[in-house]
Amino acid sequence: MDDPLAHEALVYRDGTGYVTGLLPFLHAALARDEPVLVAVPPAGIDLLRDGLGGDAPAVRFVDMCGAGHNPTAILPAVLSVFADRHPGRRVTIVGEPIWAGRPAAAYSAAVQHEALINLAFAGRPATIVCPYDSSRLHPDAIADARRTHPVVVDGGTRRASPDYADPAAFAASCLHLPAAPPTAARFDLHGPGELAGLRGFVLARAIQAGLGHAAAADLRLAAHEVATNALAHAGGPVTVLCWPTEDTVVCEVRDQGRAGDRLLGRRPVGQLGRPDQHGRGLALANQLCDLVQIDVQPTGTTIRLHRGGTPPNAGAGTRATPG
Amino acid sequence: MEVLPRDKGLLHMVPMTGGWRFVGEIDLSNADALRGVLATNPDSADLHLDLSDLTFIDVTGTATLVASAARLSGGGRSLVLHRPPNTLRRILEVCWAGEPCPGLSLADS
Repeated sequence: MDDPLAHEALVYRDGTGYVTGLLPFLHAALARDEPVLVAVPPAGIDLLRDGLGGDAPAVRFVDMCGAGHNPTAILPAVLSVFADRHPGRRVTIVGEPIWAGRPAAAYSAAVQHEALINLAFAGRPATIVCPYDSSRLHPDAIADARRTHPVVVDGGTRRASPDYADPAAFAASCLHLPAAPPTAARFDLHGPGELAGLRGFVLARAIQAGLGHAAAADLRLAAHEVATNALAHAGGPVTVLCWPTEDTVVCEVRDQGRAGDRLLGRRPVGQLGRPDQHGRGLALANQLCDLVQIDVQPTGTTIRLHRGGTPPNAGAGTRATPG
Repeated sequence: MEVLPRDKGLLHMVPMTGGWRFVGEIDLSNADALRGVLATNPDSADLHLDLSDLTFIDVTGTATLVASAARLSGGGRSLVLHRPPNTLRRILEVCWAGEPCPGLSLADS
């Protein structure tokens, strides 16, 4: 039986290729009365809205640069939540998680997101097309798209990708996590009674590194939630490292469990059981941070949280110290 | 029967008319104890919590409040949270997005 999921990369070179590649696909989905989501950068939204004309109001548009700023949030907060709103119906999605100018730190997390679409949507009736701008992206990005999409459309030709990789194995190996610097501050967590100490540790390090108080408090809460999950679900010691980069503070939480959970942090909160706070804490971390990197390995799970100094919508300048 | 203040680690719970005033922090270390206290409230009216001096609450603590509210709503009662911290509102918005929280009521005063 055919897999009801179609996950395709569309390689385009300019605005014309973008529109001619996507419009017929969108018109056909609308003609079949399917729910349609377009989650792409603002320039793509403008092109497709113009092209759709009177059909545009039937499409749900999401600014991917905003909602997908943290690639790890795209599945739970954008794609899966949209599909879950239409149970039993085929959904059609245009998702562009990789665009020219995406910060390098987020790139490999966006590639991992592409691989995990194949697992999160396996067996579900969905058509997901991901546009790739081959004139502005590095050739490596197109090569990665051929690894994460079973089908690639290029120059008007649709064919199975010979480079398509096993999504679980690829998602476990594609994340680029440079080693923590030896100067990183360390906190060893042994039980819930030490969580308050961890919160103080993260807040102090974040402020010391120059984050404003609101951003530092966001990182504190995110680290607390991820560490709480690690204590509750992984068992054993949890190690937290914290260090500044040029424009962010990174907090890494490492445990020795949860090896089997490939979609850790990727499920929308509506899919979680009532007593399960596991995914809820990660959902919160996904919204509090600029970037969340989740690396699930047989030996344990590493989650890196990145928070920049300026909230995305704040006009204020940098505040080195609170109050 | 006089209700005495209770300490659950980081959280100091002060009795007030119709419920409790919470001072301090709620996390995994005291959420179970909090659940127990909320479950034993003998009154038959709505249960009120003054959260204006709650300095930290997380997803685990919020889940405890949501579950307590659901249990109260089974008996036709509500859990009323007075002046909750912004973090609590944000957690409900992100982590219980679109899910009903029966019996839970938030008040600004």
